[in-house]
Amino acid sequence: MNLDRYNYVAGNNYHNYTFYSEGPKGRIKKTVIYTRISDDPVAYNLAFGDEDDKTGFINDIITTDNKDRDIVLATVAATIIAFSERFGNHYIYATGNTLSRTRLYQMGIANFLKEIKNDFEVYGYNNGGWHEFATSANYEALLVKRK
Amino acid sequence: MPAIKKERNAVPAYGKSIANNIEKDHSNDPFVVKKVEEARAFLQKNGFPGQAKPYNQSA
Repeated sequence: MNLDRYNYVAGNNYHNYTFYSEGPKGRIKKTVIYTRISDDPVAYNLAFGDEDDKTGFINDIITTDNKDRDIVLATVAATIIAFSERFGNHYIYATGNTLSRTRLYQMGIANFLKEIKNDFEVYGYNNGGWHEFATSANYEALLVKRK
Repeated sequence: MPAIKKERNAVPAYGKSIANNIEKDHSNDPFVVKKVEEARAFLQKNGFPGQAKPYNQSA
């Protein structure tokens, strides 16, 4: 993918990535954390949200509305590529804190589905099963895997 | 006296990223713990693409 995105910083173990969203609401620290959740097949959970400067905790309930959603989502996608290059092309599971937040992630994928499909297999879960991602459907959860 | 150029203690990594030598541990972050527990439960219940569900839920 060759989309606009923010520079990010990877933690020592390459499981954590941080970057700053910049827009009308200011400079907001974003963190992406990968945690292994399955061994067979290997899968990691992607946790993503704003990092509170005071507590250091992540929050994905806040709606930042910094007018840079596509850049932020492209940056998260870039961390998936970096993570996969280091640890292998495994499943990455992602879901929002709410259905509407999952829908937001889904809209970001839908906007760039053609580019994303060059690099990733993308699946959505609905109606009791996993399906190849389609822009017209709503999903409860998402799985991506770099090709 | 020659000038000394100081550089940040950072190692280039992949793409536009750099590795940070000061790392925050998020393993006990309540948000991360909750998300991981939910993800494990979801996948144990629903499996992965192309797999049969781990157990029959139709009963």
